[in-house]
Amino acid sequence: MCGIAGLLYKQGEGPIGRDVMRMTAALEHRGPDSTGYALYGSPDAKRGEYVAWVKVVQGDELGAIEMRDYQRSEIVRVATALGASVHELHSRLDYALRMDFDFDGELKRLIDSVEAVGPEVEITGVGRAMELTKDVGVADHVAELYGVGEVTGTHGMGHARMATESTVDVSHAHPFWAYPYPDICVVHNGQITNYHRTRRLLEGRGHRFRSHNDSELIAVYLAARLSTGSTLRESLELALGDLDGVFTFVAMTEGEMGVAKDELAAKPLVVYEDERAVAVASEEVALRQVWVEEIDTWDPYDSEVMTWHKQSLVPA
Amino acid sequence: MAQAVTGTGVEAVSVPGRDRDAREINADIRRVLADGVRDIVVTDPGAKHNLGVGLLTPCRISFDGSLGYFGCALGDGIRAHVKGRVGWSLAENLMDGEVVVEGSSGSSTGAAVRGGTVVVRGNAGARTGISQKGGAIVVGGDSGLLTGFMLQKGRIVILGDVGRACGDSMYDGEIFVGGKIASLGTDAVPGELDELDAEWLSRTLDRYGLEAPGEWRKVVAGRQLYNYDQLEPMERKIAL
Amino acid sequence: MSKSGRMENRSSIWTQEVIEDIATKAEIGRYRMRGFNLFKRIPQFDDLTFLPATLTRFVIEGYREKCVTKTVLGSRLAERPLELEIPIYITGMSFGALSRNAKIALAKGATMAGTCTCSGEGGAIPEERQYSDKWIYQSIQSRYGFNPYHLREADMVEFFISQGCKPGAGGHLMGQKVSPEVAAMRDLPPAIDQRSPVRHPDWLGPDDLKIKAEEMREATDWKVPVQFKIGTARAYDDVRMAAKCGPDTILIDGMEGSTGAGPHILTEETGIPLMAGIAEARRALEDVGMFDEIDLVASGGIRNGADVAKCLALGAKAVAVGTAPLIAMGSVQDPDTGIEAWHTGRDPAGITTQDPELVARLDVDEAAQRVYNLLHAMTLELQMLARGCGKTDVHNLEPEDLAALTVEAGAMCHLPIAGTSWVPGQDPDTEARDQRLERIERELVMLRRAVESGGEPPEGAAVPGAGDDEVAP
Repeated sequence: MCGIAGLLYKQGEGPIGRDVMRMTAALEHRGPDSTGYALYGSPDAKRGEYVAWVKVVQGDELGAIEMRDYQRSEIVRVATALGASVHELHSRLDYALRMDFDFDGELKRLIDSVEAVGPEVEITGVGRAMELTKDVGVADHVAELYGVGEVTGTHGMGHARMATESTVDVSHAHPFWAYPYPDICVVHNGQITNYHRTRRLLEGRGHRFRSHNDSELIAVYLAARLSTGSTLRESLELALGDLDGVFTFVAMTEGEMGVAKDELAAKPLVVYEDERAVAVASEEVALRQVWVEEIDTWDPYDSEVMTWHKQSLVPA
Repeated sequence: MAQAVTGTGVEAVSVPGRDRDAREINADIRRVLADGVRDIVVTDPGAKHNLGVGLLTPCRISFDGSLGYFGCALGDGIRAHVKGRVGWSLAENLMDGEVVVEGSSGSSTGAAVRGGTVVVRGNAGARTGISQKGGAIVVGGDSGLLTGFMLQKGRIVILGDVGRACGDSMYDGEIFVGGKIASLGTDAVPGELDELDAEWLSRTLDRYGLEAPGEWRKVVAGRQLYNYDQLEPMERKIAL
Repeated sequence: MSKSGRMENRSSIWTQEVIEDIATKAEIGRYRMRGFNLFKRIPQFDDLTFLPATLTRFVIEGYREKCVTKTVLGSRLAERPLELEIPIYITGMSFGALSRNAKIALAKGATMAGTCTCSGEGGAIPEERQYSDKWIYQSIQSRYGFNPYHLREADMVEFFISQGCKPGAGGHLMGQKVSPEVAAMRDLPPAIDQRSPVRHPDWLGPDDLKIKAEEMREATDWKVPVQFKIGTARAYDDVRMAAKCGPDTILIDGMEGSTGAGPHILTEETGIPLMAGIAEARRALEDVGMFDEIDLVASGGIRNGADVAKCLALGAKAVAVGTAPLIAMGSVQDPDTGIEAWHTGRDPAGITTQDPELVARLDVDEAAQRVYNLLHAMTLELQMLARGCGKTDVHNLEPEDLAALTVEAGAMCHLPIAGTSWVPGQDPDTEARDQRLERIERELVMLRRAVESGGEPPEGAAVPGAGDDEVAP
C-alpha cells in the first residue's frame, strides 16, 4: 500500500526532480518504508546515449570494499568487451553507480552480462532519458542520497512505499523498470491477487522477474504488450482486464505518461491539468506541493485509462 | 446560505491553515468555539486531512479552499461550507447539520451519515452514501461505482449519471437519479416516485440552487435478502 | 466392532458429522450458521507447558509475596492510557448478540475486578458506560449505532479490522435477535438477518488507515488510546503493517475465538491459532522496533489463568475474554446439539437472547458476581504460575518460561520441545555456515585479482578449504 505521484511538463523542461520529490514527500504517511523516483531528464544530463543505474554489493564487512572495487572494474570491462563505450561510471553512493554510455548492440545482452558480474549487481533501470533511483527510507532522505532535487527534465514519477507482504529492501522498492526495455517503468498502489498465475505465464514467454513484488508484474506485463506492438493506452486497458485485485498505477515511457485506475475504485487517484503541466497523485496534498494555490482537481472513475504525450496540449 | 445559528454575538473569526497541520488547525477551531464564537473561516486549508472533525457545537464554519479526507466528519449541528473540493469520506458519520461543497468529492462521500444533509455540487466518486443510516446526500454532478452500497435509511440524490451496481445490498432508503444508471446492484430494484418524493426533491433542490433534471429514476431495496439465513431443520423447537 | 460382528464406520473422512452436514445442505441449499467457536482440533495452549523455577531459579512464595498484576495499556501516543488492575478484560460483544441484562452484568463484574469492558458492534446502550468503570468503544465496519458522543465518553477506542473466528467476514445477527429495540439502534428493519460488511465504508487500505486513525484521535482530542483489533491470519504482515498506521495498542484475536453467529465453514476454516499469532505479532513488532512501544493484547479461546499466563509469556501485555464470562454467567448448552445456544435467540439463561421474558431470567447482580469470581480466579491462577517462574510481576513472564509439548506448538511459538533444546524450524548452524561461505567468496575474489594483476596475494588471503591459518605458497 503506497502513495504514487506523476508529473509531466507541457512546455519544455522544468525542475522535475524537485517537484516530484515534494509531491512524493507529501505522501509519506502512505508509505514510510522506501521511496523511488524515475525522472526523464534532459539530453544535457549525459554524454552518451544511455544512462543506467547499477547497484553493487553494500556494506562494510570484511572484503566488501574490495568486492565493490572489483565489481566496478568488472562492469566496465564487460561492457566495453561487448562494444559499449562507457563515458563515466560515477559513484554517487558507494553501492549505487551511474553509468553513462553509448551502445548500439542488443541492450538485453549488455544488461545480462553486467548483472552476471556478481549476485548483488543489479541494473535498476536503463534509459535514453529515464534515470531510476530508489532506496530504503523516506522521500527527502532518498532524494538527497541520489541528488534528485537537482534534476531537470520533462516528466517523472515518485513512489512512497508501505511494504505489504514482500520485504523492505531496495530491490522491492518502486518504481519497477520493465527489463530489458529502456525508458519504461511503473509505480503502483494496491495489490494484484492473480500475481503468481500471471507471473508464471510471462516467465513461460521468456520474461524475467527480479523480486516477489506484485508491482513488478505490471512493468513486465506492459513491456510484454509494448514489445508486441500495442500502444501505451492499449497496454493499460488490457492490463485492467487481465490483472485481478485493486491497483491504480502510473506508467511512463520516453515520451508518455499513462495512468490506469482500478475497476473496484479502491485505490485513490487525483488528477490536475493546466497549460503548464499535468499531474496525478494518490492525494491532492501531493499536487498542492506544485500548485500552492487552490486548484480544481478531479478523480477518475473506475477502469479509466488516460495518457499524455510530452509537449502536447491535449491528452494522447 | 442557511439561516444563522444563534450565537453570543461574537464576530466571525479566521483560523489560518497555511503551513500548519490538522491537529493545530482543529485545536484552534475548538478553542475558538469554546470562546463562544459561532462563525469561523479556515483559510488555506490546503487539502489536508481530518479538518473540522468531531465538531459537536452548532456553528457555521467555512473552508476557503479544498479539504483532504474525512472533512467535517463525526459532526453534529454544524453548517459547513467548502469552497473548493474534498477528498474521500466527506462528512462521514455526520449526526445532523449541513455540509456543502462547491467542487467535487472523492469516494465514500457521506459514508455512514446518520442525519442532516451533505451536498456536493460537482461530481462524487465511488461508494457515495455507503452504509448511510439517515439524512440526505445530494450530488449535483455524477456519482461513481456502488453508489448507495448497503444503504440503510435516508435519501441519496444524484442529478447526473451513476456508475455500476447502484444501490447494491441496500436494506431500505431511497436513491433518486436524474441521469443514466449504468447498472443496478444486488437486491436493488426500480421504484415508483410519489408526490411526497417529488415535493421533497423540489424543495431540496431549490434550497441549494440546483436545477431539477428532466425526469427522475428511483431505486429502492428489493428486500429479497432480508431473511436469507433462516433456521435449520433441527432448530424449529421452543427453548424449555 | 459391533455386536453383530460387522464393521462400523470409522472413516475419518466421512464421519457422522460430515454425513449429517451433507444431508442438511441437501435440504436447505445454503451454508450453515451457528454461534460458538470452532470444533476441529488444532494446536493450541494445551500444547504448551510452564517451566517453573527449581534449583536454577528463585521461586516466589505462592500466597504471601507480591506478584503485581496492574496493567497499563496505550501509553504510546494517548494522553490518558488505560489503567487496569488485572491484565484481563471483557472483550467486545454486541448488545444484540447479548441481552441488556448480560451487558450490565458484565459491566458490573468487570468493574468489581478493576478492569474494563468493550461495547462490541451495534453501538452502546447507556447502561454500559454507566456501570463500567472503564470502557472501550468499538468502531466496526457496519458503524451501527456509532456516534461521536459515545466516542467522547470512552476510555479507549477499538478500531475493528477483523475477528479471529472469521477473519475476512463481517458480523452476523440472526433475524430472531433483531428485536425492535436492536433494530432501532442499528437503523435496520426489524427481524432481518443482519450481515455486516467486511470492509470499512470510509477507508479501503492500510495506506488510508493511518489517516483514519488520526481522524479518531482528532475526534477524541488525542486523549485516549486507539487500538486495532485484528483476527490472526497473516499475523506477521498484518501487525507489521498495522504498526505503521499509528495505533497505541494492537489486539490479535485467534481462530479459537467465538462468535454470536456466523457461517460454520468460516469458523472452522479461517485464521491461525492464537499462540502462533502472538509469536508472529511479537516478531513483527520487534522487526520494526516497536515491541516496547505498541502493546499487544490477545484474545480467542482463553479459558483459565494458564492461558492468560501463556499469552503474557509469549508477548502479550493483556488478554480479553468473551466466551469464558458468558459461561460463568450461566450460558447453557442446547441439550440436542451440545453447543452454546447463542445464535437462535432463545437462550433460556437470558444471556444471548432479546426475548424479554427470557432476558428477565438473568439475575444481574448474581451474574455480575459470577463474572467477578471468574476474573478473580483466573488472576489467582495467573499469579500462581508467574510466582512459580520466579516473577514478582506477571508482565515479566517471557517465552523462555515455556516449553512445547508438540512439534506443531514448538514450530508455531518458536519454543523448544520439552526436554530438548530443539526449536522446530530453526537451524542454529545456518548463520555460522552462511558467514563462512561469504568469507570464502570474498577471499576468492581477492585472490583472483591478485593473480590477474600478477602480484602477490593480498595479506590475509588463504587458500579456501586449506584451513584458516595457512597461506598459499
